[in-house]
Amino acid sequence: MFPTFNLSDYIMHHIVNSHEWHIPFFGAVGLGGFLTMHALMMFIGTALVLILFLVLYRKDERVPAGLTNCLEMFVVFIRDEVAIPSLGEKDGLLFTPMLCTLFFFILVLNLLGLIPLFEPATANINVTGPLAYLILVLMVVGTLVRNGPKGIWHAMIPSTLPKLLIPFFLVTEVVSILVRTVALAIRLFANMIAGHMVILSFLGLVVLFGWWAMLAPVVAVFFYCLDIFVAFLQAYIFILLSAVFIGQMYHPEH
Amino acid sequence: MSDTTAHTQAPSGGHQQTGILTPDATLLTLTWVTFFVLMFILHKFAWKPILAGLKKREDYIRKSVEDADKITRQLAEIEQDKTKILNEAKDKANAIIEQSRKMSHEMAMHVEAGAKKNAEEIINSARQELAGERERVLVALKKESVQAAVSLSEKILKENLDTEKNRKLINDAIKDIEPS
Repeated sequence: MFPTFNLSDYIMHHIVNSHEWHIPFFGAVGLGGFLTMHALMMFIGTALVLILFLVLYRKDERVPAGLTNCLEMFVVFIRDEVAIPSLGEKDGLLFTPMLCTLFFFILVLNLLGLIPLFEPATANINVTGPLAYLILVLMVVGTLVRNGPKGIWHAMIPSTLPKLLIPFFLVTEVVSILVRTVALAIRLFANMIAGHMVILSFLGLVVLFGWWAMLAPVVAVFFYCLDIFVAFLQAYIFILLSAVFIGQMYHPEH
Repeated sequence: MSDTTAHTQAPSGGHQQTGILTPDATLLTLTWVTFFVLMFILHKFAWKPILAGLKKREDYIRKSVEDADKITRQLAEIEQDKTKILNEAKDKANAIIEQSRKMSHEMAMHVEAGAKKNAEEIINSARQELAGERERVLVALKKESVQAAVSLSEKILKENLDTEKNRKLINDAIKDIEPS
């Protein structure tokens, strides 16, 4: 038994960003300067994505197999099932590289958090927020550049709307766009943080109750598997909603 | 997840920690910078060639499928043509056989008719020859009979004979006349 053990502190310590990396037998390794645990995870994740596509992916394979085939499956899925249906043929193809980058970046960061010693960078609002903000910029500025001021007006106000309702609709639409973006950031952040909280809670029970909580690791393993699924699902949802939101602004007639 | 051992020793140790919703401008900026750098590198060295390669392969597969369909259609047409040509050839062969059979039959009939005609001509000619021969024999016989009658008359006239003797002479003469 650990009478001084505080489960809440234990969970928060593992989830919240810090300037230390706890490595077995080495203790806490300090990360200097601006580098925090989540920033480090982001760099490692970026490096992994680059290795995945610049080293392991074989572009010159006539008949792709193994990892190349698997990565292509994701790319084709994003292009054909996410980008083109949401944005149309032309914009879909234009946005496919951005959506692919976003998907693999989020996915690798999500999965990285499930590996012991590593932490989930996407369980930090300061990581998911900028990504969602990027979508907001693409929604608003993109529409402005693509369709002009009239385009953004039409994207928010239906042409058949009575004039009296326009101010009300304008406010609602502005709030709706902002809420959609904030929800995009919070959805990913909350799902990732929740998954880790659940796993850490069950593992913390072992520390608290010892053998009495011997079934807790089994449940933790179950939630761990669920988190792997959630990692893929959340990455997919993030890019799908991003594509849908951008598509709604670019093509309001649909 | 970091290791449990390290944490249980110092759950909220001396390191700096922030709350889960605390804004962090550095991390925020780092996220943008990292993402844009990643997107730039991947766009240049990964997505462009990958998407171009995928498009190329899709076009190739689409073309191959179209070609395969086209070849299948052509093959079906060739098969139809082959069947048609075979049927035509069969019909022609049957027609030729039928025509040949008809021609051979006609020829046989013609030959038979010719043979019959020839045979009749031969028979007629033989009959005519026979009749001529018979005529000649009768003439010769007549001549012979006259000769015999003359010689018989000479004998009768030269010798003085009785009636019984004359009869016997005449009978002998007749016997001489009868062809052997």
